[in-house]
Amino acid sequence: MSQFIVVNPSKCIGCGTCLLACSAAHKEVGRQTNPRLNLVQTKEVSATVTCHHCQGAPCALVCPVNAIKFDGDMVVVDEKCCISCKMCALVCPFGAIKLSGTSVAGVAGIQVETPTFPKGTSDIIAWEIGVYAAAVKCDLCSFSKDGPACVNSCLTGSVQVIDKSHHKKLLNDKRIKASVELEAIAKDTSEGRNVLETRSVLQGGKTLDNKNSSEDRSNQ
Amino acid sequence: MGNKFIAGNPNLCIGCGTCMAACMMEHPPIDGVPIPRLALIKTRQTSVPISCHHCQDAPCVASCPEQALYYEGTRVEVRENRCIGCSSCVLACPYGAIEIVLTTSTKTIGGVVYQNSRKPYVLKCDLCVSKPEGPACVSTCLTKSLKIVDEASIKTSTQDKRVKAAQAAEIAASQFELA
Amino acid sequence: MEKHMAVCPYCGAGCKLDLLVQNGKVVGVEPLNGITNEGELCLKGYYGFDFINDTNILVPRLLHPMIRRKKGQPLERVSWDEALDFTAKKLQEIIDKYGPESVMLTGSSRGPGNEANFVMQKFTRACIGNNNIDNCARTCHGPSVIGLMDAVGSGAMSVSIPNMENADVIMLFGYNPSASHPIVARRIVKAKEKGAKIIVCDPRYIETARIADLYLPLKNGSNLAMMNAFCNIAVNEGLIDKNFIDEHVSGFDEWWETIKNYTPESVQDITGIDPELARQAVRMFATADNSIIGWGMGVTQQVQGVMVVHTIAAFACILNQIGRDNAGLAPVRGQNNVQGSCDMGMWPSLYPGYQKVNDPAIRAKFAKAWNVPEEKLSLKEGFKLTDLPHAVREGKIKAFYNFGEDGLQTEPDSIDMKNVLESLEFYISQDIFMTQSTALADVVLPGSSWGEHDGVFSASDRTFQRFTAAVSPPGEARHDWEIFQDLSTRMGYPMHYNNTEEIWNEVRELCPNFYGATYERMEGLGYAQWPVPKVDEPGATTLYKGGQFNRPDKKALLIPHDFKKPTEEPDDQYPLILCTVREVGHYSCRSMTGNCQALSGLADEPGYITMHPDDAAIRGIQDQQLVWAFSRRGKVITRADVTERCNKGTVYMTYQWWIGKCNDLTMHQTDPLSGTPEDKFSACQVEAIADQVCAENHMQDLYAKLKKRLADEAAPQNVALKSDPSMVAA
Repeated sequence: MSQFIVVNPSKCIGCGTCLLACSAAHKEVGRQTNPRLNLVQTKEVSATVTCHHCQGAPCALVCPVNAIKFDGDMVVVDEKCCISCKMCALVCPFGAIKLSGTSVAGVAGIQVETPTFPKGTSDIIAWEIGVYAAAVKCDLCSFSKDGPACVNSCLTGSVQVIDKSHHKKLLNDKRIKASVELEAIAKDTSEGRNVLETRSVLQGGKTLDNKNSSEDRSNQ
Repeated sequence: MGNKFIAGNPNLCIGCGTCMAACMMEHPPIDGVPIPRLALIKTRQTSVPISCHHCQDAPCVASCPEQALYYEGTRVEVRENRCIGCSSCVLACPYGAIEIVLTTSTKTIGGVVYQNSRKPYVLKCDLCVSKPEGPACVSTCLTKSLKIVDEASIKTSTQDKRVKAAQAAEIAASQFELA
Repeated sequence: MEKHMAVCPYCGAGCKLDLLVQNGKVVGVEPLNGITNEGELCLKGYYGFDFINDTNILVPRLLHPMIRRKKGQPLERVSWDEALDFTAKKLQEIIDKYGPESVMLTGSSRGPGNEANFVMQKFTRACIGNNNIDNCARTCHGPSVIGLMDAVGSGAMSVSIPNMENADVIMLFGYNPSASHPIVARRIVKAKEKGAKIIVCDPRYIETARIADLYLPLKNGSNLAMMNAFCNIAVNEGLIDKNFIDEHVSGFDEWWETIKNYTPESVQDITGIDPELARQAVRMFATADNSIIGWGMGVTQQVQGVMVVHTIAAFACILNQIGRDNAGLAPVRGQNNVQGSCDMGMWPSLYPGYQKVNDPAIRAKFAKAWNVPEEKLSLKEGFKLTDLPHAVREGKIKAFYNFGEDGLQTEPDSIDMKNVLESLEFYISQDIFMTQSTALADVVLPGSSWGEHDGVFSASDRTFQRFTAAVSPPGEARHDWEIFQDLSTRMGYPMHYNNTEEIWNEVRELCPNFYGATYERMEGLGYAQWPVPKVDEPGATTLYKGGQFNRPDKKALLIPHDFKKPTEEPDDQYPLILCTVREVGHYSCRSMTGNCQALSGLADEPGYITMHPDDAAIRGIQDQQLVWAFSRRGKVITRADVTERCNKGTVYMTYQWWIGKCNDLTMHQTDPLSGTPEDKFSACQVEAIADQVCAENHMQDLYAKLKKRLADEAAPQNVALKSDPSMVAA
């Protein structure tokens, strides 16, 4: 399993600090400044949605110029190769990958009158004149030894990065908890009968395993 | 309708792993490797296998962005071709009963590789739905620790408990009267 | 689909099953309703069959005979004629030069079965002319055989496995049935369901400890002190059965002179057990109507193994918890036919049927039956398997005939064992796989596997059961008994059996206690439990009924002993106790289970070292990380299994792993009374490995190299014989 950013909505306060941190960190190294986290605020939930670095990433499958590849377990966009066709943005089920930068008309700094849609309308069709066009998504701040900027900046600790060792531990902890529940169920008995017995006590309480054992031997 | 799942009784479990071996061998291997869909857990006090509860309001189904997980009667089923390996279901499952296994396949034409693809598989208990004899783990368990729990068995057990409680209440009442 | 009835080739429970055959291949297993397994099997029973089909997951099957004409040369495939003539000639040369005592042989306690073993010991005694025949019980329940023969007369379980579920109290002392005999663990679980009380005495919190009513966390290496204290409590609290002792037990007063000093308080530091807990355990065991005491390697693989067995027998006898169907002694034998190996006299001091080699009358009987002059059969007790290292070094053993064993994997101090095997003048190995031990041999003889021949196994509780062939042996592999009789004939002692039943009938004639066990009686799900002297009367489910012990005076004997500390205690350099134990999903040297897809899929190299969380934390070791484990003898890479079930200060490794080989660390120290090694107690240290990625690669590399080395060693068998151009390569 790969590493990716997860968020705990019960701690998220929707402040958007993660967005700014992401943007700033990427600006410093000359990459697209469009933040790669997407803050969603519904009536019940505030949370950021980011790339899951899916192991069978549809964005990677769909890119016509092979700009989206796996680097180990991480899904990486080669911003130089990207032709901004928008297929990856369409296919991502989380809406985690989006288009950024300018349309073709704005390349090489030539300012041409083109209709510009406000960013608020849609990530997919907004563009910024003078910035090259590319798909952007979370890259786990792999260029920085401090790790993901969003995680470091989140003031409530809601944004976390999860990786293999967490994953294994999480699975294990859950299974241990489940085993404790099963132990409790098994103990919740009198005379050893419990919900896991499918023979009714009203039928005399025999266990399912009714085969003869020692009787055969003594009659040998 | 209720859900149907396999539950282990730690009092009977001897931690031998026969259930895991049976599960491995009774399902098609993934990329040539047989993998079990239940996990044997051993803590200080407890040995018991953990597997999918086929929850009636399954967090894994709710969390899957591609609807690779869906309800089929009392079961949570998998559409393998839809899985993109995002791991949301893995995080969502409270039992740790679901895992993603990644396989890679290389497609060649005349010895030239034209596609190296990654195919994630959702790995979880399917109640051996394709086996007429039912779950392999249940039939091979030598101490009969693994049982199929379904709505009927829960109803029976619950009714038994109520009957016993009623009987106990009667005895308590009669004693009370005497006192 | 054909079905062929067999008995599982792994542990000594004796589970009956059908081998399913399609197109001449074994494709599956179905359980049968055998007396002990009742239609159940464990994972090895269900999924431990595909090795028969030469899966090459671990190592290749042996298909053709091979010899090394000179030491250091690669193996060369030869015909059976040439292989056996070469062997006969070399053996005879060694016998002529050094005497018959210079040849050592070891029987197989697994697939071959009783008949093959019988023929091998007959070859040893009537052809070679010595008693240097032993089997792996030497490293297992040998102390139980010896100790119980001393104390009560018969070295076997006194109760039957099925009756274990009917006991009122079961005490497990140094025995972990969930790992070694799942079908026995099933009986204990059923006993608990029926209301039995369970007492577990073990340093680890084993599976059965989870359901135990009393758990005594015994310190490693304190067995005799604890058992003596149990006996002390039994007497001091007036729990003993005085009438029974007067009538059926001898030596009490002298025995008490020692035991009276072992109050539980006085040994608390040694055992680590609260005296009140010890008292509760004894009271529970003593006051029940029927109590069974079961023990395993935790007792026998220690330096005072035999002495502890004496004391366990004493404990049961003074409390009159013996000689009834649901009360008695349960030393549950490990391997599927280790009981059989002992039954068949693969023992330096015993003929088949537990008849003593130093008894002139017995010798005369066998000489007559085997048509040899009496002087041919030696009256002298032979070498034990554990004598091999120093006997070779002292020049007393020159030739070794290894049958179905992988001593390099299963004996302690494997680095030393390798030197020993390499320094033999002549080394024959007869097996079904190219194991690490067979790879060193001068002569490699391919035997038929379980599933390819008929025979009889003896289960742990003295139960004879038949098994049948499902498929033919591959290549030129031959039945083991045919190989022995062929070799014997070439060496001047002709033997000519036509089938296993003929051999078995000879066994019956020579062993009065087995006489009633005919092939007919053991047809299908039939069985015969010895002693079974009569054909038309039932065998003995239970020994010592009515307090009749098999000793000369018909009484049990109490033999007192003082506690002695284990040999190599931990120190600053090696601060952890190393104790070697068993896997549930693999068996013994793993040459069979390691070649099974399901079993090797579930568990593979390097295996685990189990450690307590505190011991791991101090060393910076995390669960599942690769670590170094080392001792004065050697160093291996293995994987940490950090668990609270382990006791602090001790680490546990299983002896199945070839890369994570615990026997590189263990030492060759034996109980002087039995020759059994002290596998359960030596000193070691464990170290974290910083670069885990590098470690994983290194481990995989070692594993791949080992597999390749053994495959290469076997490769000559695939080359057609030059002398026969018409022969097609295998």
